Amino acid sequence: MKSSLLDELIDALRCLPGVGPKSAQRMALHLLERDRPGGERLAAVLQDAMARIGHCKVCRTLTEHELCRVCADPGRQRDVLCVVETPADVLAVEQATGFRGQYHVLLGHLSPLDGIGPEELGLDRLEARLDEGEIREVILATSTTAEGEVTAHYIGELARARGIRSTRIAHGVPLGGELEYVDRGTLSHAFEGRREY
Amino acid sequence: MNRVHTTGFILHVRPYRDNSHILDLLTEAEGRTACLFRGRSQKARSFARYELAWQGRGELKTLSLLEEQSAVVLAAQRLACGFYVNELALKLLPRQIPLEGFFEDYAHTVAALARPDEDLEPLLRGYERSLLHYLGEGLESIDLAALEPEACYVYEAQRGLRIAGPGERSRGACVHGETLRELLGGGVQTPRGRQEAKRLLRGLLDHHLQGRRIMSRALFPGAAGQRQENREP
Repeated sequence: MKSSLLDELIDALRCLPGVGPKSAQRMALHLLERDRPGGERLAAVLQDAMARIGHCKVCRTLTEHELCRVCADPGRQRDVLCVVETPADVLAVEQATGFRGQYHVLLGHLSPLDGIGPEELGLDRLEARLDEGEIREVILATSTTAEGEVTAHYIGELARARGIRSTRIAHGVPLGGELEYVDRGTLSHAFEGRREY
Repeated sequence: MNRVHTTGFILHVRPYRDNSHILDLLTEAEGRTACLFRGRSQKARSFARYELAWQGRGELKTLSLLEEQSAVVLAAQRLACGFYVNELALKLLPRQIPLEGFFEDYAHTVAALARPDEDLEPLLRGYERSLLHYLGEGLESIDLAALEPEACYVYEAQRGLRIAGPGERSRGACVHGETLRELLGGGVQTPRGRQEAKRLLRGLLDHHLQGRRIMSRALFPGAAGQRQENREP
């Protein structure tokens, strides 16, 4: 039997993360039965976004312009570069900190066992940025997984080779966390990174 | 249904569907194997030793216990070496075949990587030798007493040792008797010996890799113009 348009919509919604068949069915029925204008707006914006949003020419975050809002802002510091893995990390740093420098989005991390080395990650683009001579500090804000750590180390070496200061975001016991519930690796890291108090 | 209870290390974590991961494991009971793990990826870390239990048959089992026994923190270059160690195991070891002794060699290598005063080159050469031993290379069968320290030799994968021909000496394909003695004895000390040992073991590993590239070797950035081979320990 040929699948109906409704089936097709339900199936299409399943491409979203965390959306299984039940949730997809609820979403489709909600839009069709209770919020047609919302559905039409979603369809229009989705089509527009898919067609126009690409990557910033400088930092590689998502934007529909040639330069993203951060790269185009003349009021931001040009000599501090925060290296993150994903566009979501840019949003997280922007929302949680008062950082006023530039970003470089790697769109992933080094993962040799998945076949991703420096070349595959496009680190030559970051090297070219470091070679421009404007950057004085690189903040390594990659994740604290083994892959994120090795990525930070590699980029740190690239910065050091050019005489650029590199710093790593601190990690350890989460705010409000109790020691007995913190895993061994994190606690060991937190002890290694203790500082004067 | 078969239930296996053992200890092991995670070699690699791959995301699977929304909330699951496929863990490539090196275990005491079954050697290299893979298990499905339902849970947060933060709970599954490479280089930590875990108490493990799984159920199921076939290639992919479901993990029912993942309890960290001891963790090591690898940083900087030592972490890159850890990836190298794991990548070799992942690409070279057969699945589902427990290799008596290799599990201990791996555990020793990872623990030593975490010690900041441990010399990396001999450690990695020791690990490579151990892998080659389990892959059937007979470096141990070389008669050390019969080696001339300054004579040049060629060791060919799966074939063994022979005296180098005149042309081979200039191409850097050969290894001195002294290097072989040190490598198979206590450890290589001289820069020439270390270079030769690295080249010899790499050549043998490359033979077993059958054209597959070891990506972790690219994790060692070096000075401009420096050959990749000379960047890694």
